[in-house]
Amino acid sequence: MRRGFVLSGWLLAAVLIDLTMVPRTTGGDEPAANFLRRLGRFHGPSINSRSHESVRSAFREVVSAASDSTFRVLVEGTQVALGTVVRSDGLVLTKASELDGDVVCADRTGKRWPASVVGLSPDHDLALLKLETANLSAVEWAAAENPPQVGAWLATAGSSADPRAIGIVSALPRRIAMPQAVLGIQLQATREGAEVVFVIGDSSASQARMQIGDIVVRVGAVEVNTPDEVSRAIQSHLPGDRVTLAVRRNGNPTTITATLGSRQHLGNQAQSEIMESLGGPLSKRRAGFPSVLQHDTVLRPRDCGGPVVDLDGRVVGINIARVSRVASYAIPSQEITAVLPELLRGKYAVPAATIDQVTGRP
Amino acid sequence: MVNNGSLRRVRLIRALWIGSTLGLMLVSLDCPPLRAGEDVGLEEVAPRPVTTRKVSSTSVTARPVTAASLDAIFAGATPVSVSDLRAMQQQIQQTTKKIIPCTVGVRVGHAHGSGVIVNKEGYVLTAAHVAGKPGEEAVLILHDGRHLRGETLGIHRTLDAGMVRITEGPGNSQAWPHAPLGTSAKLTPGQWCLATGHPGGYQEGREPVLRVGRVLSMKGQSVITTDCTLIGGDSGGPLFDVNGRVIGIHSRIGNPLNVNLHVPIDSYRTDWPRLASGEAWGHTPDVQPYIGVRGEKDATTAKIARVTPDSPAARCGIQAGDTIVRFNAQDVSDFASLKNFVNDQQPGTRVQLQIRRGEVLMRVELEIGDLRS
Repeated sequence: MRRGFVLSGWLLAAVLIDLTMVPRTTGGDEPAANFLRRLGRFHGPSINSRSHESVRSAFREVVSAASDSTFRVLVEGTQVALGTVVRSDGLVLTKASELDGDVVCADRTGKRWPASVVGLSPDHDLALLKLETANLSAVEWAAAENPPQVGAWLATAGSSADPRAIGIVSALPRRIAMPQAVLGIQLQATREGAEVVFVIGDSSASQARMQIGDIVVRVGAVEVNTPDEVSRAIQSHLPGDRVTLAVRRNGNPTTITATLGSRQHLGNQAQSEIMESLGGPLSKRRAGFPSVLQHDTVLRPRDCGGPVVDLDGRVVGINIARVSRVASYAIPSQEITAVLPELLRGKYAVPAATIDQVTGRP
Repeated sequence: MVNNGSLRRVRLIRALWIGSTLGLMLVSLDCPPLRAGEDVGLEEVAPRPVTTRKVSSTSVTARPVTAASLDAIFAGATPVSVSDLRAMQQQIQQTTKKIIPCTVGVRVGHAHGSGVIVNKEGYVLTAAHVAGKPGEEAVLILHDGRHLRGETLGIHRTLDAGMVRITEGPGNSQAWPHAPLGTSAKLTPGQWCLATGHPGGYQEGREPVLRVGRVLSMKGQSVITTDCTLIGGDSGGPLFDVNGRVIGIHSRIGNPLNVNLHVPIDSYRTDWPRLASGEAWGHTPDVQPYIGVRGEKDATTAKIARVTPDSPAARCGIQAGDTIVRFNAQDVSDFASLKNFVNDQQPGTRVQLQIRRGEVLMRVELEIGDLRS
């Protein structure tokens, strides 16, 4: 616990600096106002910026084929992801964790088809969708023996002629470990059950106002009686998951909703969240992949699931997550072509209960 | 239009990774310092002419990219065809192979940042907020994961420039891989650049991470803004021109993706002797050092007209009418030179002053205060 303490000490100092540095608005604030105005100029797209439309349009012919294979994936009429047509008879890959309800796919002309989930790879966060149609244009995968090198241009197809976004390969494919979810409490087995004996400052437990003395009786749908059972139940989730806990507080049943943190940022959660999301929203599921190609394309979470191509127009991967201010991840083509037959055979099609959890479908 | 939302957006946040688990803290919100008592406005960044290559509708067809037109593109003209993009990619990849081995992870105590080796002796440029202070032990991590011993040298806090040195020998190769220094004075908006570093801190199995972007603005000698996206852990890492020459060092970011700030390389060249000798000077942008005295109008010496009550000067007994003649070991010629000496200190530092009161010379020690706290 010593480390946690040191961290919160620093944190306090940081917060103080933070508060004193807000540009003062009373008296003689002309320089601050100028500064705001000047900075405001950065917000608009500059002709000099890397991803200005004048640069993106140079990629037009690069994405022309891939755009035909890029579908919008909608849940309740809202785009939640993009999809990649992998076979002409209506098979589309997309990002599984965004599918929270009935799924509809739309091609670039706006034509829509209802979609059903026929395969799921939780490791890759990929879902295979089936559309009742034929004659779709399937993507052309890049040659396995010629994977993109660091510094190679990449373009993410969208539904218009220009790419949705562009970037370069930042790092070669590597595994991304699944981070451990933590609540930020210490528990003790007592006659009452799993009793909270310590709540770590700036953790998901403290944000959810858990208190010393709370007895945890349920985590999500799982009944728990011992500290071990609580940890196991927590660790079956991912950082960022919202979990409802049933606790007994002074004998009264109480419900607590906590957004789980990651072990890496324990005791430092609020600051980490601010830092990570500087510059835009991130995908909920953004870690725990067997192999990803890291690139510096600026994507919105709902731009994931679609194909990313090299300058030859070949698909080198499927975008799977917006990860931080500096990174997006794509599952490399080799990985996808290896897992696709398994998905088609239904090997990765998981039991209905699990599909239910991920997609909201029966 | 100054509302809370926009205030939050403009806070430029300097990230410093602390703790062995890479917990991070936000160290400073780096608005340009407003010097109290002087009406220091912010210099206006003059809008620069935008260089775009004239694109006729016929030029979009495939055509070979000559070296001259590739230079024009990298200088800011817009690429218009796939062959332009291919030529850019070839150059970027060639340069990437050279700059990755020169990029290092830098660990000093709990701070995790990045750096770049700039000579065969193993001198590493980084950010002042990564180096921390001179004479500390440092660990430098090469792109292949080798951990090397090092020590921190000088820091220029105002600019956020720092230097570290590898203290081990390079072994058989007899020279550390290193990147040449470029120049930052003539950078123009639209020019393409490459950034490397260790976002989130060094991670085993991941080489330094590449980003490509363009220069958006230059503010004199103090800062370069690009759209090469940076985050905590990148601090101290290098910004390169497309030929692999170092043109800046990553320092801090603002919320918008196109507010990534770098210390211009020219200031490292100017400050090299002081940095290499392990000097620490200047103050971080979140503080304003002061001692609490005002000079006498038109005086040719640092004669004190007024002492602010309850200031560091008042607390150590300095009175109106005193003349400050020495600041640490240096002569104070007039009030302007006194101001410069104070401005080069971080609040909290203790300094020795020599004061003349009438015929008497006195020595006092005081702690530099912070006008902002």
